[in-house]
Amino acid sequence: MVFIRKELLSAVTMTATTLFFMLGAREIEGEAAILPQILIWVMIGINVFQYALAIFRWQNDYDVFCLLLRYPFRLVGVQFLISIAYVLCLLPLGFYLSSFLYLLLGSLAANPDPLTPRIIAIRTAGSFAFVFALWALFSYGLGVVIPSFSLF
Amino acid sequence: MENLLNALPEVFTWLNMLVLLTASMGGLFFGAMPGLSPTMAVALLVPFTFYLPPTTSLIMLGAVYTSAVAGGCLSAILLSIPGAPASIATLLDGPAMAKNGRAEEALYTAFISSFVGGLFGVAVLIFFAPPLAEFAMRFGPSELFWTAIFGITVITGLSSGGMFKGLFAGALGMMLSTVGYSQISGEPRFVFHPDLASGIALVPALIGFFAVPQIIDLMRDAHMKLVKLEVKSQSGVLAKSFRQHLHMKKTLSLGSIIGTLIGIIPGAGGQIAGLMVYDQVKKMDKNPGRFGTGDPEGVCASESANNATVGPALVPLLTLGIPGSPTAAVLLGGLLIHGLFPGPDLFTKHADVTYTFLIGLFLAQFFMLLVGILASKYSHYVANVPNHIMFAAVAILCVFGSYCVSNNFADVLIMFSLGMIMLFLGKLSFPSAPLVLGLILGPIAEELPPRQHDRQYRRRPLQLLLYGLPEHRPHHPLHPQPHLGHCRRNQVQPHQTRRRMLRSSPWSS
Repeated sequence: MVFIRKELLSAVTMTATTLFFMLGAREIEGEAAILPQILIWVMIGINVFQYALAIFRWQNDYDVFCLLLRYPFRLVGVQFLISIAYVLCLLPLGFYLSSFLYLLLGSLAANPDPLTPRIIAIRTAGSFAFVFALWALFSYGLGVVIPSFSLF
Repeated sequence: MENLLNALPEVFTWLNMLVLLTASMGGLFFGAMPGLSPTMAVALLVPFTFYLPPTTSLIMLGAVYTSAVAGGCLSAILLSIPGAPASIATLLDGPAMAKNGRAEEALYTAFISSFVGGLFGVAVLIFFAPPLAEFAMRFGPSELFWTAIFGITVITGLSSGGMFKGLFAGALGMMLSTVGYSQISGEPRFVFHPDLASGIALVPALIGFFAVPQIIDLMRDAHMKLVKLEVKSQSGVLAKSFRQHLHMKKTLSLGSIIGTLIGIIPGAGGQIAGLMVYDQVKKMDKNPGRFGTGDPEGVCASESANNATVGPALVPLLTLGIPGSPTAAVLLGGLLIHGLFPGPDLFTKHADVTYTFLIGLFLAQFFMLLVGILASKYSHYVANVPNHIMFAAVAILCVFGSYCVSNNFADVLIMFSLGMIMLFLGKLSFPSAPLVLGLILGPIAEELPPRQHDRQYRRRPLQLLLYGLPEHRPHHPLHPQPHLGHCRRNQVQPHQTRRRMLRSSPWSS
């Protein structure tokens, strides 16, 4: 079992972030490089202190994996995948149709009670009303050009 | 005073009244929903400000802010979960009152106390901000810049995740602001994908940082069934609550004053104010044992204090550009979008907009009270939207809000990407407010004034100290090395103009 302390993981994250920007900053030259380079030095300095803090708090720090064990990965994972599908469908299906499907399917998938025809009917009507309100606000009210599915 | 009187007719328009009413209702809803914070409410509404006049936009954001803070009491009292962090102290007496069959009284007490505290806080904002802004007129661009940097350090110092993480988040925010073509030399920086060429726009970043992590939290709690206490409406309770407040003058005064003082301090928030006032009132009471058992005075102490922080949190923001809270940081974004730069100019050049906003914020307290009292009767509808519906609805609002800023789908992707990064950082206790501040301050840091005021700049001791850091660089900003292609690179692409407008420097003008 690997144990990773929270403060140490924070310090490692800081290092990874700083390295990421350091690599990106190599291609920048001249005046445009000044602020990124100053910031990289600042980030390195803070990172050193964070490592010191991680060592100082080693005994009182808690294990990240112990916390993750209690996290409902399956529940969040399913909804997260539906959300990814929603973002991917936004342009092909249009914002309104994909939002309708996302609200309907997302809420049904996460419903804590067993699904009944009544729940599905109410949710469908509610999703339609919500998307209609969005259309009324954005497309009709504010005049924003929202990508839409041609049949919708 | 003259400016205030001049602004009065501007506030009382049908549009402003309608916006005040709807924003108060929306803010109350967001505040009442556990998992939806006031900061997120304001962040989600920032895109709408593009389509409204500046005054109306600011009134809307202010009204949402104040109502969302007050609305947190609904779920704190009925669900024993604070809807907003500021309502933590309300948990000590609110749910106990509800369990004793006095939920309606607890809700009325909370809203009336919030109203009194909020009015006091906004009055302090109205009367103290202009003199402070007058003092700030002595500041040059560089002083204002370093004041803002000081603001970041104060906020990060007080942030919950720890000072180092807060400072790192601030630096990371500034680093993110450099993504895209440099405003100075036109060189590409950290353009890992063509969609990043024009940089990270403020609004998708605001929504991503503040809303996306909360959506994931809503997903986590989607199966949660909340046990909610029903509110049994009784006649005469409202009048009784108003009468009770006449006997709680001391608590109201203490809550309003301490809440105001804490609100002015950048980084301290409504939760600190609420807990501190509750503790003080309890200590000063002859019978402290009654607190925690369902006493209206406990609710009064907490709610008057947390809403009293709303107005004063805007004092350092409007006068010095230092946001007093994460929500104020988002409001700063709202101001910049309309070309309103915090500082003395707000009270001179843009006095019409600023004073109308201040009066609007004052009126928002009345709307909050009205909507709050009505919501108390129907609170079983207000705080009862389940998480399994809410997460999808909020995600959809995030998508539409990010997209409609510049009709660019890349903004939606950037919003989600930043949100996922913030989710990970948030789990490690990196705060989001310094990230946003860094993102706002980054372009300003690039346009430091020394190029134009080199000699004057070198004379100032503070700047001299901070100036020493880049002094030893071979390509110093004060002595830029001319290089080939400079002019060509400086040409701004047409699609970049709007983003640059959003990212223009508050202190460069």
